[in-house]
Amino acid sequence: MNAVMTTTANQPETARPKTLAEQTIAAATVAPASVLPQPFNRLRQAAQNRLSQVPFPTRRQERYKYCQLDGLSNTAFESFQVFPKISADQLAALTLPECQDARLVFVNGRYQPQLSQTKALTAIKGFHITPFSGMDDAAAEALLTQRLEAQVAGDDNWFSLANTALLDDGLHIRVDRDVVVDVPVQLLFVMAGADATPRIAAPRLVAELGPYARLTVMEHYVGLNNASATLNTMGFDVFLDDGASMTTILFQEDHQAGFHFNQRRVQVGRHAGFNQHTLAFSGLLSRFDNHVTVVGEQGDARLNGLLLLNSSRQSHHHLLIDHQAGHSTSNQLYKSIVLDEARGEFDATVKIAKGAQQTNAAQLNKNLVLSPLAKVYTRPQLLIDADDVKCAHGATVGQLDEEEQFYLTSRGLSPAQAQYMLIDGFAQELIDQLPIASLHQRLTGELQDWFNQRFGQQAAE
Amino acid sequence: MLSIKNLHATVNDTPILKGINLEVKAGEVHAIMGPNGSGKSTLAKVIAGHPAFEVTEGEVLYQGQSVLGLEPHERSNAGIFLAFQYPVEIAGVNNAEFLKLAYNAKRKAEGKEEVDEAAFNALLKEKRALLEMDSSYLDRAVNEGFSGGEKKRNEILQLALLDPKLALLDETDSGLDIDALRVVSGGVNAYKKPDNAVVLVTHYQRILNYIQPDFVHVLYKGQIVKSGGKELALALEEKGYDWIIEAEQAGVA
Ligand SMILES: Nc1ncnc2c1ncn2[C@@H]1O[C@H](COP(=O)(O)OP(=O)(O)OP(=O)(O)O)[C@@H](O)[C@H]1O
Ligand SMILES: [Mg+2]
Repeated sequence: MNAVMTTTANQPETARPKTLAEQTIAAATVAPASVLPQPFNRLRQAAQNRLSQVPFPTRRQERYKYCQLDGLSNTAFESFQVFPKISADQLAALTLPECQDARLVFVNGRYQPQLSQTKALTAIKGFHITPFSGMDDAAAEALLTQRLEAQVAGDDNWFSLANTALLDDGLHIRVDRDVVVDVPVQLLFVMAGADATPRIAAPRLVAELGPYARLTVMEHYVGLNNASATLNTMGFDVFLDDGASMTTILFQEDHQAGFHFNQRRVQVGRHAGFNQHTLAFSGLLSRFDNHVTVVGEQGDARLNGLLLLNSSRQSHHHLLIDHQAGHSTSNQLYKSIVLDEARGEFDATVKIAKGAQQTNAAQLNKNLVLSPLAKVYTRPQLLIDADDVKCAHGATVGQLDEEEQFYLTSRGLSPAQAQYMLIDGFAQELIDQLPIASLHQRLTGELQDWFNQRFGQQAAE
Repeated sequence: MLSIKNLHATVNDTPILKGINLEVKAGEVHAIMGPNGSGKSTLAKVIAGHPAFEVTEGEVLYQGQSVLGLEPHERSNAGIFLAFQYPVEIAGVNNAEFLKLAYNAKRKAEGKEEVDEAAFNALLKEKRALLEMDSSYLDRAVNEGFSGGEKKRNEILQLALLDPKLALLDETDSGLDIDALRVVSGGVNAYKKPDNAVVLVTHYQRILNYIQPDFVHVLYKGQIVKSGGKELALALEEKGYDWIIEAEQAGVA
């Protein structure tokens, strides 16, 4: 995959003083990850070399213009060398009912087989999960040369480079041709606090689906017992062969002081389908860089997002859907509800290459801004080189509709009840589409709590 | 029941209502007619408490108390109901859920216990039968994609459920076919009792064949320029508004 994150910052900056975050992370990367097979050290080294040329982002760069990075760049992060014990009860509380026997756990960036439940998965022939540490050198070599290595040289994304430079024990998921994984797999990424030192983690996941394979996962990002800042630099590489279909629910439940920079590269083959539902509810600062390349004809990419942001949280969603093949389709529907001084960003580009005729792409971003100091930045963009395509894009930013509120209150509903119904109605369009049933109730409940906290009890009963 | 005195109201500082006087007693049906843009919907919305309108002068007394300081939901809980001329579509808000919340809000206001799902569904079924509405409307979002006539039925379904003291029906007959007009009028007549009152805004005499008005008023440029019995509606149907407007202007001049 030759796709590159496009930022303008590329020139080596010798004079620029390094941020505290940069210095400490540079120190952290020096220690080799002893757990990994030899070839991975080459990958780490390549990323470390590249990292020395790519400056830490600042708001002067277009792609970080709205990202308040000060808190991040002024923090001295150390690598996670500590893996506090997590009790069975704690894990059980985090596990979805549908995923009791299909739960893969990462702690502080490292895959933890002994905490994982794979009963339902080992029963499926043709579904393989292999920790990086469990690969022989040949398999590691193949993964690097075929999938991971090429992207490093041209990568301008500081966080994705940091993820590779700090690479720990990640996970490789492969689903063979025609295999349908009929249980949703919960991928639980726990940031477990150990002490007062700010820590950086580098979880990494690679999923390869063979022709006509099917897989549904829920990436669940949570914090446990955190007493200090954490930085998650999650990296996810997805490769969908012809006719394969993957759905991922990205559920972000980071802790209050959690920084989360999530980079994903997705390659969609012929007739293949990629569906993603991002749920950004928490954390301090999060950023999602989604780079989807549709390489095969009739490939389809659907990305939904629901942002529910209060206090001074920030959540930035960057999408690049690159249609390189014709008759392909993509659809984006992102909605955000922002309160207090929260900031949401939707910066999405659909690129249609010259030869990608008869492509159909739609982007829609709707925002409810419920406080005077809350802000959203929205920028849906189309870059089209083909002439026979169908594209639509739009964005709305507004408050709750006065006529709708009047209608509801004129029927006796209190103003808070009416507001809750409208906010819930706004969010349900996305919640309804989630393919895991228990999440519907869970998220509706979360929305209720969230609303009650803000508007007082009894509203959302 | 309702006593409106010298009511003036503006929207964005533009005067719309310019001195309305109206007395409605329990058991009465009042029809309000008048040309487009004369202020009929504005009057209904001001009584119901729409925040876009500012009352600059006058009073609206309901059961002897001023309602001008009350929020829309407080007026509703007190028994005022507005059937909208243009019911809004509310995406994502389930119609059945909304109806249940509205019904329970009313119960609560009356100091009664909220009803459970089963009890509510039974009541709703009875009211739906009255309006000949099948259950398919319940699973949908409030008014979303409803035809003009279906929206009006949904309004009268709410009237039947909430059983208010004062019903303001704003052009409930517009957009109804003959059968729907009969059904909807039937709904209003079933609601009608000696202790409640109806103010019905309409352009057509047609609905008044089903719902007999005790009084007919003509609203023109924000004022009631003529009042009479139901024969006034017949005269308007025949002669239009010109003769009233001319008489009014002659009177002013
Ligand atoms: N929110 C508003 N903003 C600006 N002008 C308004 C608003 N609401 C009503 N008006 C104006 O007030 C006047 C009266 O409108 P209203 O809707 O009360 O008329 P109506 O008598 O109900 O007419 P129709 O028979 O067409 O329903 C009109 O000129 C209308 O344009
Ligand atoms: Mg009107």
